[in-house]
Amino acid sequence: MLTVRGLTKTYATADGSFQALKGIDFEIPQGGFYTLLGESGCGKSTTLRCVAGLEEPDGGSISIGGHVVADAERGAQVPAFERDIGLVFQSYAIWPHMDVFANVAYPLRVQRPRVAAVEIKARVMDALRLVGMGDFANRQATKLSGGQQQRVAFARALVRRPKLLLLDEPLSNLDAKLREQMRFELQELISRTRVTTLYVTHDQSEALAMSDTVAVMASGRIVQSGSPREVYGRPANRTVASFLGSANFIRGKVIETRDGLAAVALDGGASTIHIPSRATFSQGAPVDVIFRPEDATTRLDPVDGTIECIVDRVVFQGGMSECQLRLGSTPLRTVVHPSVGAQPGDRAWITIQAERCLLFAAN
Amino acid sequence: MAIQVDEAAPVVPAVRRKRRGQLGLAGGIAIVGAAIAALYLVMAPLLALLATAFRGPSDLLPFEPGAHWTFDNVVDVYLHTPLLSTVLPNTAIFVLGSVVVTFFTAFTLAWLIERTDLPWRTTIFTAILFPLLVPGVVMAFAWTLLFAPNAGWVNVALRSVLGLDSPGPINIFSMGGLILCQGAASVPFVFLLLGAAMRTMNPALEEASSASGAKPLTTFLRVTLPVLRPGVLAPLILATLVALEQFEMPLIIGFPARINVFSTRLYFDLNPEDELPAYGKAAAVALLFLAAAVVLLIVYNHLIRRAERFVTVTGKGYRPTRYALGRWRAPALAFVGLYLAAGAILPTIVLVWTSFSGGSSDGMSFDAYRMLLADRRFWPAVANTFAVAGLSAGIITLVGALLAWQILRLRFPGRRLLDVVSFMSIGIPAVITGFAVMVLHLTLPIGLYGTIWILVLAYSYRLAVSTRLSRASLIQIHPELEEASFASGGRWLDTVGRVVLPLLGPSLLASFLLLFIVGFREFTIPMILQSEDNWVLSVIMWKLQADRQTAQAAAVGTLILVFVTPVIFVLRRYLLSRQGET
Amino acid sequence: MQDRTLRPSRRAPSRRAPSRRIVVTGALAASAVPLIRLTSAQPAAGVSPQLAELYEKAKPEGEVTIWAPGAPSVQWIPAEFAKRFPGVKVNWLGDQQASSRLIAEKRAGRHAVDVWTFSLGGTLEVQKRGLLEKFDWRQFGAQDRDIFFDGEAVANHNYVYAPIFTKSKLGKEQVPRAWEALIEPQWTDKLVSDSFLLPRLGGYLAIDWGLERTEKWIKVLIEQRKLLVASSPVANFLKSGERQLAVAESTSGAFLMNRDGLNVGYQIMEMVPATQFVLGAVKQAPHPTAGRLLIAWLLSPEAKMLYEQLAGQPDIRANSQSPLAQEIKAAGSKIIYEDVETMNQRADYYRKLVSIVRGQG
Repeated sequence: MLTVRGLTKTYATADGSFQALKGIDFEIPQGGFYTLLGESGCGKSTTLRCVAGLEEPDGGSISIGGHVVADAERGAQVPAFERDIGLVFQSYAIWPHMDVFANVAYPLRVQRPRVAAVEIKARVMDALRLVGMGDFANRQATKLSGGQQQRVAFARALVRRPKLLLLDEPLSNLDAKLREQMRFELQELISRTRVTTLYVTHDQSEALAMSDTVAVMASGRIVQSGSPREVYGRPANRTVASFLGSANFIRGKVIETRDGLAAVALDGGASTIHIPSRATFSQGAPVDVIFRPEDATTRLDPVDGTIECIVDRVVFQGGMSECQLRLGSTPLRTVVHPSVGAQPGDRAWITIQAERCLLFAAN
Repeated sequence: MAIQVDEAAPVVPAVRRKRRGQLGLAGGIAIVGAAIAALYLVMAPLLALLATAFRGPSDLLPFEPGAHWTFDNVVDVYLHTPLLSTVLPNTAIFVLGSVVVTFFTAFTLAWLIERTDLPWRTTIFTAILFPLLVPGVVMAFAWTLLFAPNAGWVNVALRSVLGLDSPGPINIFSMGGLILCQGAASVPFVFLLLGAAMRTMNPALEEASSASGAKPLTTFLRVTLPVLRPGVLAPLILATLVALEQFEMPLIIGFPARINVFSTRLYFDLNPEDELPAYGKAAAVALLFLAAAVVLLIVYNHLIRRAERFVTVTGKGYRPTRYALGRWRAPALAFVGLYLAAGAILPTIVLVWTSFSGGSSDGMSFDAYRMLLADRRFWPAVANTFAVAGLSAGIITLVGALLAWQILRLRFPGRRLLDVVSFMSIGIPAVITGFAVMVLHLTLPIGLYGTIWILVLAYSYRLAVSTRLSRASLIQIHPELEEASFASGGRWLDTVGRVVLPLLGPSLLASFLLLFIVGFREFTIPMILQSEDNWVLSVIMWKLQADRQTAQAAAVGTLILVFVTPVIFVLRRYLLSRQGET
Repeated sequence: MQDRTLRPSRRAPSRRAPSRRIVVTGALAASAVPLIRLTSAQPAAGVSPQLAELYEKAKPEGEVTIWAPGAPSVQWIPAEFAKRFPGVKVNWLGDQQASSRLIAEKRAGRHAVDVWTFSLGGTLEVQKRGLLEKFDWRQFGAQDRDIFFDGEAVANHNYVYAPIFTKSKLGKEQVPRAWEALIEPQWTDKLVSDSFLLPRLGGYLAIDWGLERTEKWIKVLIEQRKLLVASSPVANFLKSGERQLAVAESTSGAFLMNRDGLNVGYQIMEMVPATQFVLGAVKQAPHPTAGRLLIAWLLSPEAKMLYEQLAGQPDIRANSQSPLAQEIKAAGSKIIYEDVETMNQRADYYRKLVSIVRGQG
């Protein structure tokens, strides 16, 4: 449904020029849910705005539903109002001087050839009921809460049944509880309407929960894309790894690589760990061993094969506790049952599931 | 490693750069049209003025054959006349003095209305705006009648009460008198601006100060004033620019006091008795004037941008805390009463009385009105005044709004220049615009000279007012509201017509009304550009005055008030509703 | 173009009017009354055959426009002209800036004026640029000495300088006849003067006194006698009682003030400066014949009396019938006329005195 090839965009700023996009390629099939995930400044919103037609790319091409809407080499740029899209803004952009009905009806009212008023009414009420705002049609837009505004924004985006739905961090202005609730509703809605969706966010839990495909962006490039589990479990580099979920890093030296296993001597302790690795390392090469907190077990008594650490503190977090440890000078975090108590300075022993570790060359 | 770029919308929206294609044909025409109109309305007279300053010799008009480029005018004026030694210091004292008076009065009034529990606030608010309607000439005459040293009514009364001898005790024909009069006359406009600044202040800032244990006065000095500072200094600069261009008071009150300021100096250069107007010399004098105005403008611009950052964009109206006046209530009301009496009530009484009595105590009659209404100049002048004021207000509002939109939302080469140009118009005094337009249209064979259209064009140079107002409102409108329209399939016209204009509506109306009032009482420009076909009421009033038809002149003044008063009430409804009182 | 006549004020003219004036006016009015009919296009009886002939030729043009420095000198003309020449309408413009306007309009190719009337000095710029038509005005009764610039301008009436005083505050005997006497201390806080007229008066006085003495005189008046230099009409200050004597004023000023109900008197001084007003036909006039008719009529003795009676503007130079001329003669005063020879010098004096009067601005 959406094809983006070689997208580049440069801005002129007061101090010179800044390249926001350095070559973006991706595709979304019909009905797919594709998320661009990254920190502020990585280029995800710029990409979305280029797809929407609110920005013009300097290089590359975009096509929606088989129609080319932007092609920098040929100098083609279809303006936003001619693209078959629905766009939900981070601030919702609900027009304050209109009521809910007028807001949602707007895309149909500006359509040429004209849509009959009767049909407009029917479709608007459908859209409102879809988002659960059926009783609010005559409410003034200024009298809506944040969550209600968001739903109206959705209804407006979907009322003309676009080929492509674009969402620019729609949940970031909501408080935590509402955010979770809205996330479920959104997913529901989107799967029910089966609309192709491009979603932009900096919140990795949203990305992992909702998407078919997650693309991690940094500095104007897509660093890695794949299914949520892939990207989370097999991050391509340390950036992705540390961005998705928490990660622990332990420095070590490779003793030898054999049979797809690398034997690594960990610093700060007399432990060796065997990690599956397709890459080969020379003997003595410095590496970082990366593992997730949930991939380590923590005990307060020594057992064979465990690594000894010192407890810094245990932080109670309701459903679980986070255990902050120190291996030598390296800080580590693991997850324990909330009932576990330990005092700062106590000794603890951790077992790391080696097959779930990642190995990257240290630089 | 990540570079911060404001992609997500911050509190103050970043400028979004638009694709030109989004404008479409209609949009393109409107935008380019507005830009051209702005350039013509402001730059053309200005360039004509600059050219005139360097044309001589002085016994030829600048556009006559035989005139050539020369520095003579500039040299003559600046080295061989007491311009720098007398006029400059006088102007400085006058401007500074009147700005201080205006500021002190306007600030106090605005504070009392916005931040205290003063009774009858709504009525007082309207009454303070009233002097906006009264042409400066009328105010000046009224005040001379009240405060002239020998026969002024107030002096006569004071003398009999205090048992003093003539002349005095108050002599309006002095620098002090001039400063007070000008200061009081400029209050309404500054009052409006200061009130707006106070209204948009976040009350949480003062609450934080109270919660930290500071007494009200300390909070005022350490929190309120500094926070208000940019929003307050900007009107201060504006008041200075306005005082610089003022001409009626210095002519009627300052001149008999032997005080010459820039504006009267220009007036006399342009109105000599037997000789030709010294356009070149007048333009040379105007150069200094303009230079001072440009400097002030740069400072003003800088302050306004800082002030904009202090205004939050949520659009929720703040309710700042109101202080209780307590035992200060009586003095506060007395102060307000004094201002209203001197600034609005007394001049109006004097005006109306004069229209019925002709200024002597013989008896009252409707004679003046009868003669005036039968005067064949009168009704055309009424039509002209409404037409010119209305058309120019409409043009300025429309062009100003389009200008503000494109400067804020579009990116194109020359954007800064356009901004500066529209802005500069505030620094050009009316007397200069008038004569620049005249020179321009005498040189160009367009055939507008002597018609009401030349007045419409000349009045329309005040772009800065509407551009500022529109810009302030546009900033409150998040650009995503426009982008949402584009993303929903709306073209430029749909977006402007269904989203931008309705949201801008109230401020456009306010801008129109304000400019209508200003245009209605405009005096300097139509005086300079007058011909048999384009007389307006203020010029008729002056002519009647000069022909010693005092009663009829006063009748015209009264009728001007009558015509414009309804406008004030409409304007006040808009202003008060923004206050959140309704 | 419109007729911009103001209805004449209903207030009675000054009660000082001598009976002879009334008789003359009455005679003229009586002779004119039977012939005021809007539909008639016949010239009134009492119009010379020469003017009647000119009128016939001017009728097709239908109207004529005259420009003057101010309304008083011309606003009476349309009504009186219409009584005698009903087929030709008179339009007028009173504007102190008329000379630069004329120059500007000529430059812009606009030809809207037929007749020009201004002071001699005020006509100079216009005449210098060749905007006035040469004509032999002697055919209409003008004397040689009344013709200027080879026929481009002809003498009309005079602006006679005389101080004006409020009768309710001062008696005529209290007002001195010597200009010098006004610097006496008793006049402190009682004097006012127009900012344009005072330096002009000074220019005339300086011809006799020399510049230095005149400068001193003005300085003392302003600085020590606190003479109020006004930019607005002096009448206001007299009316309100703020001041009692206007120094640089004229007999026509007094006439107008009295007509407006003020009750003032004027004093014939020992030296009487008199500005000379002239008439001229403008080149490329849209209605040349009507213009010539108007000027010819204005030069007639009848029109000169009307000038004096209706506008207070006398011709003391050529009109021996003028009551004012006779008054001045009876008082034994010396008249200083504006003329081409002293014009430049007076203009020079004027410029120097202006800066003093205006406070070095």
